[in-house]
Amino acid sequence: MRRPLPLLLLAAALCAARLASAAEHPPISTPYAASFRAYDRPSDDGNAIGVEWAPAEVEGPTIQYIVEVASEEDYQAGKFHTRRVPSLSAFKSDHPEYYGSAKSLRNIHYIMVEPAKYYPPQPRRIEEPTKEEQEKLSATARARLQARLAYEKKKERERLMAERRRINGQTYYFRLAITDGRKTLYVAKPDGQPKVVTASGRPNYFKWGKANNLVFSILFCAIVLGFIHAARKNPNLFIRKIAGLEAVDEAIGRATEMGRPVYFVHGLADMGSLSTIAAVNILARVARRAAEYDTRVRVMNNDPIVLAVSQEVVKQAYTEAGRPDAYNPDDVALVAADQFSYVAAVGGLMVREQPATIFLVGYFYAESLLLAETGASTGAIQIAGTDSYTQLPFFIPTCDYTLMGEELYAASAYLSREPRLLGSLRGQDVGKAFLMAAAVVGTILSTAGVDWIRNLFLAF
Amino acid sequence: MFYKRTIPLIIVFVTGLLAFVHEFVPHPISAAFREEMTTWFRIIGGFGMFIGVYSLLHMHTMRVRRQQAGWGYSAFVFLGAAAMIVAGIVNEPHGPLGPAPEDGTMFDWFYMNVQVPCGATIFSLLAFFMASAAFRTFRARNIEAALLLVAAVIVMFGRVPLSAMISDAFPRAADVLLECPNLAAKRGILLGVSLGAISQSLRILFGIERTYMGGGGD
Repeated sequence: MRRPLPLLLLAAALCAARLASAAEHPPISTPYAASFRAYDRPSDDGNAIGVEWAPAEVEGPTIQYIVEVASEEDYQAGKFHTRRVPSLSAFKSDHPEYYGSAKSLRNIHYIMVEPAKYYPPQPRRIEEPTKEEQEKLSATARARLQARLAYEKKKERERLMAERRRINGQTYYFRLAITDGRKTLYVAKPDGQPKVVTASGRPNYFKWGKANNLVFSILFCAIVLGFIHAARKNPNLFIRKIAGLEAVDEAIGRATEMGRPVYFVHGLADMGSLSTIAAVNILARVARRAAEYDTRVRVMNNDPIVLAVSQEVVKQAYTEAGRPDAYNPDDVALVAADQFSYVAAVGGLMVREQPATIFLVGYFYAESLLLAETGASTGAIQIAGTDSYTQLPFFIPTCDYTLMGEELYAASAYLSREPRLLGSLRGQDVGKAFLMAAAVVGTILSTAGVDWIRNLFLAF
Repeated sequence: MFYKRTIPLIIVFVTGLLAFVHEFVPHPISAAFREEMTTWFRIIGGFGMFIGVYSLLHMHTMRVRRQQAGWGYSAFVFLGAAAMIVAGIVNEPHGPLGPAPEDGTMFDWFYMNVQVPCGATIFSLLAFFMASAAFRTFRARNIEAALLLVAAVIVMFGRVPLSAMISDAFPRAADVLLECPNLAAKRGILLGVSLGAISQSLRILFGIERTYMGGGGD
């Protein structure tokens, strides 16, 4: 009869502890079953499946979601791969490139599943002789072996890629559970069985995340084409003066008076770069004017394709000027393919031949200042033009005139005065005005907490 | 005219349009097209190298033959090219057409011990050229140049540890200059460049600008 009090106290303590524990970890519940779904991820090449669900009533640092994935075969056998997702992370809004920037996406949990990561394709073993065995072969046999191995490895890479696509394109089964470490609850159907959703990845034909880019591209194209069309009807378009281009004739005239050559330096980019195409367009105008004035033009190339195009352009310019005999192929030459060898070669030629005029037009890297400063030391008049804004500060103090950014692209149109080309320049300026207005309005709206215009200009 | 103008213009238009479409299509067919184009570009580039080497050697042969000013440098071009070609073909110890040895060949030795140090030497000249260019730029001849000088002094001083030891305001001022007016100007240039690139691409795609094909395009 003396025992009941301690026993009662012990029972009360246990109940209190239990209640305290319950208060610390409220009971977990599953997310709303209808919100759990799986589908092909949009705007991709078919390599991923999206799985989403609404947040559960109770979430916290100790609570996790478990997403289970199974292929058809594994599903029949009841085997699943699992992926744990902390309950306070992984939201659909983390992927605006696929789903946009709507605020409602912040309330949806989402993960991307690449089935081929769980069911990777099996690589085939390519038999490769050991180093010792290779050394015993003749040089020809060794070369043949290397070529065969390279071909087989390439084929194997392609096979694995195709196999990944096939694996990702099959149907997969997904289940969702929530756990607090002690208890695990499955998102269930009304009959109490875990809900299973299926999906397969398939390649898509459009990146919706880039829809804004497409719309703006089409808009700018329409503006530019509209002005080109307008320029045909009214060729007297006003185009602002660009000092560097106004000085081209003067610079070539100076070389003619001094009897010294004109140097044209393209920069280091290849023919795939728009700045090089712009440079070649300027070269054609410069070469034609120089041919008319009977002045030598030397073109310094560092890329063989640019060399071939430049030779053709200069040759044509001399022909059009009525002096095809004056064209010397050695004046348009490849001087070096390496960056600093190119600098050394061009710098050396500048110092030895003392050109009267130097054009530095195209895309430049560290060689910009080395070339421009060497040119300045020879006393040549220098006209530079580049869209590489990191090099512009080097050209501005060392060159007499600098074409900045889009002025490089405008040069050909400006020099030719051809109405259709000038129309495109006007379109370019109107596009710039539109962007400036959008920047001002966007800044004001963003400051006021309205984000839609900022999201409109997001690039993915 | 049809072969020299029309067909190239059609090729430019079609490939340009497909490259544009590729940006918006994630389908593997689009990726395969891109891969194919890249391969073609590399193959054409490989053939282009023959033109480049021919041009280089022809120019220097003429210089040596005519004994023009500085023809000795041209002779050195042949010496250097011959040394590299021989070292590449010999490829010791595996011989011609053999695999490249892991510990390097004479070709690698030449590259690492001649080409790389010479390139580094030229690059190091940049520091001196920068100093002389800065000297010319920072002479305060007018208000703009004076502003440039003040901004440059603030940025340069704000970037050295001594400035932070004196006051946190110096590095902060340098950061403000770089992140506000400087960045705004850069982005302005970039916007212009992007629009210029679109405009130039359209001129090329629609065959309005044809100067790069040879001729004035008029």
